[in-house]
Amino acid sequence: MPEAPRAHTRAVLGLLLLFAGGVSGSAPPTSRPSIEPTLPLLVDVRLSQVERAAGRARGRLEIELLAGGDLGDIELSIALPGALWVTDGTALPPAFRMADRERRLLVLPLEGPDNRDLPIRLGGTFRTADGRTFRLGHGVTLGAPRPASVGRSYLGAWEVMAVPLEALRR
Amino acid sequence: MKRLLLAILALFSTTLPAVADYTVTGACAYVDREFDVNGFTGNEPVLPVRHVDVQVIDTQGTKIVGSGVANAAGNFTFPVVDNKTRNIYVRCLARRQTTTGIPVEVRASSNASDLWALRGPTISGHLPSQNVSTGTLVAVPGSGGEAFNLYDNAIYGVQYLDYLRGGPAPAPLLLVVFNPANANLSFYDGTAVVQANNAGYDDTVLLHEMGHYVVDHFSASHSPGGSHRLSDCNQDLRLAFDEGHATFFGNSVRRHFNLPNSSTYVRTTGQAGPGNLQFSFDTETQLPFVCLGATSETTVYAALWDIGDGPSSTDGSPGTDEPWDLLQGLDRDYWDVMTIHLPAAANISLEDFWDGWFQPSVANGRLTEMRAVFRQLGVEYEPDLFEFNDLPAEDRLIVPGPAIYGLTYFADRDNDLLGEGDTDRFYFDSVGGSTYTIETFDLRSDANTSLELLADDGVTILASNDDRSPTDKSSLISYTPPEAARLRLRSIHGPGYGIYGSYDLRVAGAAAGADEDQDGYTTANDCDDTNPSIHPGATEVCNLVDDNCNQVIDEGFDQDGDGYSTCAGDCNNVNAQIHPGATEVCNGIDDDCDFSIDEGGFPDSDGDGILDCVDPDDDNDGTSDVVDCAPLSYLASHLPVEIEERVTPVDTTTARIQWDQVPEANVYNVYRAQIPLAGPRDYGMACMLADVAGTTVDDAAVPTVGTYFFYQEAGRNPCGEGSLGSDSSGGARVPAMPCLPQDLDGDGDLVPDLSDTCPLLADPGQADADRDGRGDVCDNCPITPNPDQGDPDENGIGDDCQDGDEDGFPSAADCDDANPAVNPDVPEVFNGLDDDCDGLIDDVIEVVTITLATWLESSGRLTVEATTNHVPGSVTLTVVGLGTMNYVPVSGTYRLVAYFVPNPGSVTVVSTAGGSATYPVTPL
Repeated sequence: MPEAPRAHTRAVLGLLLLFAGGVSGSAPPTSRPSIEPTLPLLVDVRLSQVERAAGRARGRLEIELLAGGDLGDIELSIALPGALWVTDGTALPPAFRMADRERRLLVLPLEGPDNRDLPIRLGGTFRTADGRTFRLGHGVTLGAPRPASVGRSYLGAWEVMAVPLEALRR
Repeated sequence: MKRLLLAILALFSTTLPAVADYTVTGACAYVDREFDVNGFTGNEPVLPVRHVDVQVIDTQGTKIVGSGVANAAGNFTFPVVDNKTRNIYVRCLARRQTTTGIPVEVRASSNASDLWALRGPTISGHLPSQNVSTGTLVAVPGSGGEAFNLYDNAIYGVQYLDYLRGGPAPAPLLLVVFNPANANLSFYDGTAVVQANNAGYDDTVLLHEMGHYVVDHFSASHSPGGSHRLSDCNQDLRLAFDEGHATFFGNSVRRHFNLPNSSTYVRTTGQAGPGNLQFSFDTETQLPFVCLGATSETTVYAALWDIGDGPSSTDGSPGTDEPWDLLQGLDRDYWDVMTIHLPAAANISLEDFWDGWFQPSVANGRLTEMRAVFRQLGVEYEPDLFEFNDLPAEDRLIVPGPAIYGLTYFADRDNDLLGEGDTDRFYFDSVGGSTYTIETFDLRSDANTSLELLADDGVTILASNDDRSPTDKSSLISYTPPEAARLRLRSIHGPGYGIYGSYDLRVAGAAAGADEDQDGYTTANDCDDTNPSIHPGATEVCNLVDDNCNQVIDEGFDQDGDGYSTCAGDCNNVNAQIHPGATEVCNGIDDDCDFSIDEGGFPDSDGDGILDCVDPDDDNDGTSDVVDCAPLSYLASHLPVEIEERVTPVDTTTARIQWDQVPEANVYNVYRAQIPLAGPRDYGMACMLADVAGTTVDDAAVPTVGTYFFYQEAGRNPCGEGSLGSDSSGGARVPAMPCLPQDLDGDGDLVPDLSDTCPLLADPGQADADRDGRGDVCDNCPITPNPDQGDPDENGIGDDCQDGDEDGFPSAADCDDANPAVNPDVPEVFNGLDDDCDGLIDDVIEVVTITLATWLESSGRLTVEATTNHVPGSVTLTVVGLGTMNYVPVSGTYRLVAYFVPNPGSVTVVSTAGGSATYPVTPL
């Protein structure tokens, strides 16, 4: 993959802005990026410290939560494929609350086979201060090993190999 | 350049110079992921990549040796001038270059040299005279599929912009940056749309961000930007408009092109397979993020959506629309506001959009319909019932008590439909020593009230309040007059980004005068002090009485002024065209309020039960009317596609030109050009034969010495003449002497050849059971649609009707017509094949079998073993109430052993694949 430092910086900027608080009534327009619509509970699910050995994959599932308001009755559930399990028996917390701008990080150590994609799906519900309840979903896939790069930078373009239509239909 | 007539060249020249160039043909495509409100549907069709640049690369010389452009179907054909043997490959670039429209690029970074490209395999030792056919190059998920999906959606976006702008016109580059290393939130930063790493297939997210590009380059915004939460009903007025507009724009692109679920905004997790939803919402109903008032992006996109959508929109309720929404198809009216009025406005919000709509320079009109839509969303840009009450002399009487007065900051004294800053003034008679609580609440659309209580002189301020608290912009005054007096109240809009808004006002306290009916209101203002259901603030009902003492009878029940109130049968109170006795017209609406929609024999051309006026596909040919060039005839929906012909010599002087039928063409125009062997090529083609009903013509003409003939054919149908292909510059070929319509009827069946499903065989009935445009009497496969009549083995039976593996299923119904063990009647087994042709591989219905269930009393040991016909490890089996079973490879079974449990009598095993079984436990 080609590196995209500028774009990444902008994204981080956007995330920082996400919970930077309200806007002053007299503040002039700024050139902050326009970020996509979000839920008041922002979720980032990622895998870290993934190690592969002897046909097994081990890693940490990190669930990062950022509250964009006072939220209650936050209930999360996680669906793991049958072959993947939490190695230390850690469970997600029961219903909990988060204050505006509060951040939480939940970590689950996982282990499973290393020969196929293992999709991990997070679901949940939460209640906003005005009493409304919303659903959320998120997910990440513990992928099987693949070639290091799917493309290359060449002659003014980032090239990836095409798949012939006939091969797709086989 | 598509076809050089080499056969004719061989006939008339024996000493030709070498033609050292070649033609490159092929197509670019990508795997799409369809979605609905629940996330991905699991359907992943292959779609064309339209209008992309295509290049031929020399791998050794590291240079571009040729280039062309794919057409709207993703196909490309272009010549390459060359004279060397090279190793080459072809690549499709996620780029649309244009000087007359909006260019588009999808890059892997902001760097211009990181344009996403899809490359084919290397052709080693390619000869300079060897044509290249790449086939269809497909970008798949994880390897370019996301980038080309984003590109395709961007193309939809710029095409919608072309429509809004009245045609293609130059504009700045629309740049999209997608990289799996991106962060997980998408944004627009004034330069590019940076798409989140997990949003490569989130079409509406890309189109939302494109909405910001649109405002950036064609309108204006004063949004502070940054994050915004859909559940926030109290956003910055400017941000709410900018973000709501962006969502509206994105989903309007999908509505304009009749793409499915056009009102649905979907954010997925990016994972493969059905579902994988983060969240979704509906731009029409706002669900599940419902807010009222202009300080919510959800209100803004719902209001703007109602301006464009109609009963035939591909939204969540196709065929109908909300009863209060009588606007539709006003996309260009919306665009006028965006481009004419808003760029000069200050603190742009929904208020400015409203003003722009009615500005004389825009003058979109439809006040009643606009008010109905906005009012439904809690946006009341209209005078309240007390107007005009801006000046001291216009103070209006209100009564202390439980009544709640619904008010707006919106004055329009000059009746130009544009709002003005508004002051609401009232008076009431107080009782000495009694405390009065005066408050505003339920503020909407940034109303931000500020109250002043004045003495009867209208000048002396007795009490005042702007904001009830630092976080609550409503107002609260508590005041106890020392003696009975007339008090006056002034309500103004506090400082903010807007001047409009709505709020409720209540003055709680004792009212002066008698109250015989004990309804809380005295004779000072109770217009019927003998009836407790009649008093100020009472709910007005349709009963010919002034229930709420505002001197108006049954207000609100004939809002459209058509003479019919709702209690008199008016089924739509905001449209004066709808009422009992009105003329029913075909529009998907019950105009005459008789509980029937569009009765009266309006046409239904395809007989599908949906009248033409609301049927998105009147001829039921699968092509939406808005893009169907013949919407009432299933025989044609597009111009015929380009034709590939074959030219062979019949004898020394005659050439035979043949081609295969193409869909939606019954007759063909044959063109001929005479090309010099040397010097510049001029493809000035002239009509040779017009409206040929067959697919073969012979040409006995002889080209002059030093030239050869070049032939080109174009199918013709009621929509016109099909493509003649592209010239070497990529532009469409235009004949110097076009063929003229002949209006022939070669078979004499009184059906013109142009629309005759069998133009070579008299067939006045025109029966066509499979509706493929080929009449049954001449169709080589009459029960299965095969408009191209494909029959490569020339046995007279269309390929789609043949049964290659003789398993009883024709190829059209057999997903593998070379394998008799695969067809819709074969049960699915685990073999890596789609045995039953249902589109799924190894989708075997699970059978769980409990092979052992024993219980040993001495230790309370319960042993359960079970098997499943699914692949071991692919599912999880669980003994209900006891836990997950482990797979034991040695025995090929799943097992669970539990100790110190009582005998359950029986056990039930369930599997994650849906199977289950119950079995009695045997005590040991």
